Amino acid sequence: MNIFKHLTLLFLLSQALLFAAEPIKPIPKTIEYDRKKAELGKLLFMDPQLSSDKSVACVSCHSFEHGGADPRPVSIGVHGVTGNVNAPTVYNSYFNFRQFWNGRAKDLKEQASGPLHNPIEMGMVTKEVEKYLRSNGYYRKVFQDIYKKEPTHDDALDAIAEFEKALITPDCKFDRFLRGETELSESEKRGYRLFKTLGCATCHNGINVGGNSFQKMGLIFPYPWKESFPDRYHITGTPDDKNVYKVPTLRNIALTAPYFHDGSVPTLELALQKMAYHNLGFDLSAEEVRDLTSFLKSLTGKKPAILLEER
Amino acid sequence: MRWLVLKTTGAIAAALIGIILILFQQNSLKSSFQATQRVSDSLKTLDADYITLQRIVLQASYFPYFDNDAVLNQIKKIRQRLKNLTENRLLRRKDYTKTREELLHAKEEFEAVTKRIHEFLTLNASLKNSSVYLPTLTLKAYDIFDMHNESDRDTVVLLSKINAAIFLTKNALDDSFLEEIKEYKKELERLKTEVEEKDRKRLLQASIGHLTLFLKIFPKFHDDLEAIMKESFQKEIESAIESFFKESKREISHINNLGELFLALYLISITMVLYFIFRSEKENIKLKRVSEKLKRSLITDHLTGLENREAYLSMKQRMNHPALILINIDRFKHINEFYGSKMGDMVLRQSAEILKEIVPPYLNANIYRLGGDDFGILYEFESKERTEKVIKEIIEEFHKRAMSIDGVAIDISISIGASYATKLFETADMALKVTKSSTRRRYTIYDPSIDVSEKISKNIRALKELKRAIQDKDIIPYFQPIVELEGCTVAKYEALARMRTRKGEILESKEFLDVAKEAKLSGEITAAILHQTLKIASRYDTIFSVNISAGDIMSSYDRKNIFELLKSYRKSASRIVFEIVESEEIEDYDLLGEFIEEVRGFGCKIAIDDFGSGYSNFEKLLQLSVDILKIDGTLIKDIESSEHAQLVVRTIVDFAKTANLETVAEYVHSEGVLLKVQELGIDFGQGHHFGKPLPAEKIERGLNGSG
Repeated sequence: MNIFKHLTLLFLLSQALLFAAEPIKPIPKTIEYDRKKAELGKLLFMDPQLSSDKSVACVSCHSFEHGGADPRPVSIGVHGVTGNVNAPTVYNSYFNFRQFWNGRAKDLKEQASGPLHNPIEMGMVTKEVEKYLRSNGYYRKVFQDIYKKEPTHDDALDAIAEFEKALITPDCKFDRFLRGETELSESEKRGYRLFKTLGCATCHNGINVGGNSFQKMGLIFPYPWKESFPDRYHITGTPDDKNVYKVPTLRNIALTAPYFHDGSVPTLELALQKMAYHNLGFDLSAEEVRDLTSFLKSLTGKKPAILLEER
Repeated sequence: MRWLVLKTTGAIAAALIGIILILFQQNSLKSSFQATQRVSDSLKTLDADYITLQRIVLQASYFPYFDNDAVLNQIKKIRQRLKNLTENRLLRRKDYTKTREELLHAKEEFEAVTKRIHEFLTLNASLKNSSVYLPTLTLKAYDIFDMHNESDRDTVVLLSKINAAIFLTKNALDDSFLEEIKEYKKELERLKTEVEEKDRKRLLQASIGHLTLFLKIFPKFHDDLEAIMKESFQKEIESAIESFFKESKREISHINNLGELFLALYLISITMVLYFIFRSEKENIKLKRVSEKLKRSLITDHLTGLENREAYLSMKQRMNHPALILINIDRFKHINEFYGSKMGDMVLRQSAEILKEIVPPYLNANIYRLGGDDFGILYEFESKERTEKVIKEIIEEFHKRAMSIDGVAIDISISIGASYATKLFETADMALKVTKSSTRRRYTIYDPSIDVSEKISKNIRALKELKRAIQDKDIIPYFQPIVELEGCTVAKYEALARMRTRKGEILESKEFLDVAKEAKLSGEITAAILHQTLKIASRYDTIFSVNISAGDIMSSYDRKNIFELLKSYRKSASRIVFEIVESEEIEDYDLLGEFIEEVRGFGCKIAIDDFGSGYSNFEKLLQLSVDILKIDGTLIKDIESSEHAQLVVRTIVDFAKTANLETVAEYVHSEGVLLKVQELGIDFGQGHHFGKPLPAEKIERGLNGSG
């Protein structure tokens, strides 16, 4: 009677033979970037003067202590206005194929412009940004040094993007495992296997364990939709694109609670269960959740080098 | 100089232009070729890149899970390549409008495909999610359902069938199974209503969810995949490649046309430069010719075409041991005066021609005209013998060639002086003068003995010789007949002094008389001649005249000697006529008168020699008691043509007849002169026409002994 089971296993095995290559690639230990620009970008990233009420900086929502993401369910902008979305991590964002939840920015520089001008985030206009930067002797000097001219809005974005490029978190346990430098624990191993057989890896793959495609939240059992969600529907207007988001990276996922675009889930375990329900149509066993959590925790890397070094 | 700079600059400029043009053409061809190659390579690579992208997409669809980065990276790669191509400088040119247009189309097409790929990735992930999770659900079903229960088993079997159908549909990309799957779904939905248990219900519900999803998105997925696999983008690229080849071919032919134009320009500039070079070279040659002509004219004698003294001097400088043969045309002054200078010029010209012909080629000599009638032959000295041989050849050859000018044959002789001493010309000239001063010598080769300083020693030698001749009785008389013109019979003889040298040569009096006079030996000679004549006269009944100079007569010693001789030959003394020569030197006429009286006492007669010549003092001479007037030879010589001579001679003859004096014409050298002197009534004649001076033995044969 176990013949079907065996057949099914054999079938799974035959499929497994097809993907000898790992779907996940380690991130490089270092990345090349323009040091001077990145240092300027770091300064700008942390400068609340770049917001209309001088209360919000980039770093306000992309906390270096919380995996480059916002520990609050949704971000709070100038004048204490709450946003509609949980800020995704700025770490390793360089490796994403597009930026923002719905991928509306093609690169980091384009992305950086968004929150700066969003009235409920930093609420600045180009002229004000330039006026501020030009009034500051230090900025003037540094911009002159790097861009050979007085500060401009565009160059400021360029510097911020260069800084964000440097924000990589290398040498997580899983990367070291991929490079053959270490062994995974049994639980982690089981977790990784589940990650692949449950179908997580069909979306969460590549260098960033995600961030390289769009996917629907709620394939099997729909996820409740709100007009304010920053999904693909906002861009394409196609009903099928409702609740379609850029697949988020799972790197440092253990640090970036709360989870999902709406920051509605406070723990990793709960997030796993929710994903399983909506996209697999089934519940995970406690054992599966434990193993998957172990695996996901192995994706936590080192804090970006540029944040550790004193200027 | 300015021309040279211009010429050089022109040539260099032309060469540079040529090189630049050729380099430019080569370079544009090369760079065009390279740019074309790059673009065509890039286009082809683009095609290949897209095929790779398709392969990656297929892999992504086939493998249960896959690294989507591979797809994205490939998209990025193609996008970058498209961007580079549309921004390519070559393709931005007007020549490639069509290619670029097609590339922009391709780019649009690619963006559309990219959109499809993103959609595909989303759908693909969902499908895989289901196709991976459905078997997982089936495995779970083994645990949840009771495999011993038939209806439960059917449910699991159904789930397995669904797995197989999904697997086939997805991996074979075959829509035909969708209907079957729909049936399975209905079956599952029916089964779901039958199960009560929550777990079972959930499992079936999830399976239905996956099937619903699969049925919903598979057609879309299939569509996307087909669109990605379709060759529309590739076709765009291919037509871009085709247009590119067409357009690049046209561009290269443009460059080639341009190259031909450059070549033509280059050839024109080269031709122009060549023309300028040729023209200025021609002018140069002309200038060179003129300057050469001028130079030649400076060193050329225009009359004869020979090189002149200047050329001689510069040539001499360049020689190691020069030898010079100096040739002078004898009596050239006479030719000039006689025939006119025009004729003289022609003589010079012909002489030059002759010299050119006869100077032996082995001598490697240069011939010059060095003065009025002086020619020079300059060559490297080898030996005196050779020089002598050459001179002899020249003289002989020159003599052989009769010179004829305007049909008139002119007998030209030459004198030569040669030298190879340091002061070449001066010494050769000295040698020439020696030749000239001798009647017999035709040439002289300079040696120090003919130098002036050496002349004294020569004179001393001559004096010694003279003294010896007097001592040895080698001063002998030669006799020339004096003819009575009326009957043309020999009436008497004039004794002329000759000197027999030790070698037996007979010298005429002019060759030793100067020396004799200088040494006061003239009287001795007169005495010697008188003595021998008296001896001969004693044997023949014929009159003999003997020359006596004024100087002899003035010398008491000589007078005494003459009187002694006359006393010794008293019998033949009356057959002697004293011809007083050099009467212009007479200083004491009284003493002369006394001498004449004294010799008359012996029966001698007195003649005045050279009467009528420039300085004769007629009056004083005629006061003397003389018997005969010998008319000056120079008057007779020209008697035929000279009216003046005729007048003078006629006067003398008239006077002589009146004074009852005999007249004698000397220098009767021709029949014409003879007739003339006969017509003038001169009594006697003397000259080569009648006979040359001969030694005593020869005339004695024609004389009758007188006892």
